[in-house]
Amino acid sequence: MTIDEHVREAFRDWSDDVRVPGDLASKAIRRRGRRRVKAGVAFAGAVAAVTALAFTVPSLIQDDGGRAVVAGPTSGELLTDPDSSPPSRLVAAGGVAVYAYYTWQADTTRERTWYLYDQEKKTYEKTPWDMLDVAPGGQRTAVLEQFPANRVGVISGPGAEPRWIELAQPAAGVRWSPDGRRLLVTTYKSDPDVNTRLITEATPLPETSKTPGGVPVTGDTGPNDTGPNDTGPNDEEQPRTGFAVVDVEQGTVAFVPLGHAAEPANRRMDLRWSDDGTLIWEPTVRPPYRNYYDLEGKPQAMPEQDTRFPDGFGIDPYADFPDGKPDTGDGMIVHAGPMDLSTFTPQPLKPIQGHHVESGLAWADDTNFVAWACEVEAAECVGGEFRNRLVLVNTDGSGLVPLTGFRENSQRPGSWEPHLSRR
Amino acid sequence: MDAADERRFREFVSARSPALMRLAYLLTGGDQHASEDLLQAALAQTVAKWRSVESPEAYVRQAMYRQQISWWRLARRRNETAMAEPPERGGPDGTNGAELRIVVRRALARLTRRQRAVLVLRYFEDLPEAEVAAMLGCSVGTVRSTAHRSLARLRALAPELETLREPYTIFGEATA
Repeated sequence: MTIDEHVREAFRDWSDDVRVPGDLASKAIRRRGRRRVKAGVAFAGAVAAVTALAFTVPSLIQDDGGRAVVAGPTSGELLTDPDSSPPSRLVAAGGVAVYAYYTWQADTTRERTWYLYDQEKKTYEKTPWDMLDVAPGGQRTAVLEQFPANRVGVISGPGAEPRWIELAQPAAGVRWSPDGRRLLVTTYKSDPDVNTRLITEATPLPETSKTPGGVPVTGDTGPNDTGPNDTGPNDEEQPRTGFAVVDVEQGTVAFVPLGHAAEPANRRMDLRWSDDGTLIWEPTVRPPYRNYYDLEGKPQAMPEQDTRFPDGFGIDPYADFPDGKPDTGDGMIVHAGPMDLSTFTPQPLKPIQGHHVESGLAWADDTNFVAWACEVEAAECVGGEFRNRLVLVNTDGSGLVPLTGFRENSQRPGSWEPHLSRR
Repeated sequence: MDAADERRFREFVSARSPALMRLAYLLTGGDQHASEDLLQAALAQTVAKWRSVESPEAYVRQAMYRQQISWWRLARRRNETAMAEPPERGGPDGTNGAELRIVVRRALARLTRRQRAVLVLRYFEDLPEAEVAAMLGCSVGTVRSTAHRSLARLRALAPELETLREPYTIFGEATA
């Protein structure tokens, strides 16, 4: 038997195990009814949010020529570099800024080259660091050297030397707390970016599809995404050992052992702060998609504020949504780039300013978010779905502002990924 | 949906739910609860479009495939790669008959949703690659490369398959 035949036989044999529940039709009808109610409530909530924040957020409107312009009072100046990829000038919108970005090169080891915005030179400068995170406000940067990094550095301004804080465990991930006073360092016993499967098994890169609503394999911008060829954790033992909370001013380090979740998504499983900085979390593969812990490593429930608009995650332009309205009922889904659900034809019903929004990255405020978008012509992404740029778009799809130039192919070595921080 | 529409919908579900549940079960990696949820979600979408849907079964099938991809995409944006249920520890190490089927099944359960969806379309539904691409809304090249990686990962997860000496084919391409 060939492997094809084994797979066929396994599928047939396996499908015999399923149980067919009763009254699926009634459940589907009831479910449809609940979704319609939920959508109405969510839409009303979105309108209220727009009203409440009208004086604090950028407002995207269209001028007579159909171009997006920014109008009204803003809490953060809109800074764009729409002709450059990666950007050469600071890119920022609402409450977030691209203070750093990285390029990646290899498939077997996720080698990154980080670039950090230099406020004196007014451009991004190459750095020697293996990992970094910019503190809210953009004034300080935490850096890690190549794994195994046994210390974390804090840089307080352009050209400044790092102040090093020794770590007891080798680290590969670092995050500033929302108040900018502490660091969350994720520790590993082996390099989480070395994908041993890929070293032994050469796999082709994905080809591009010109269909805007195709099935892109575009990863997100977080370092936890180990690249386009990553298919999940390897079979070997997972490398995370735990985390350390570093008090930057005091220079104290408290290490807490914490292994991987039951179903780790990747070898790199960096921990992140909750919105209020009281808890930490890791991504998981099943709803609610996050495991929360206190700073002693004890499991905790997801905080209420985190469920609303999880920053940097949760905008799914292709998600199932009823009747074309934003579905924020569970705080996870916002409609930005529509799919025709009547036919499941993956074409944008309403391209925005000649762009099709592919995936969201972070909320600039309650009604605008930073996203990847491709250029649309004749219902196709020009150059394929992996040729895309950063944009600022609002949730009702009526306004869009290009933030950067286009990446030629996000799945190819040499491509860049933004690192968004709070302003 | 009026009473006549609802009756026809119920008849459709009653007649086709066994086959649709089989498909949902495979797509979710043998997760009974998830497969019921997947099918219910697809049926709920079908209810909403009942009058305009020409082929309800094709619509439901595509809804399930697309929903799987959607969940996969959502997971990716959360810096994850979706996985099926992890396999049980231990197990048979034989290379023939029923034991090998179990080994293959467990390996299939460990593929990503995207990988498994492509293999289900190709080997359970027996669709040619062009139809697989149309169903998933991607290019034929993407289907081919995904299938290639899926089988390669399958062999890595089920080393017993390495003992097979025959060449295997990937969409018509003989591979040693």
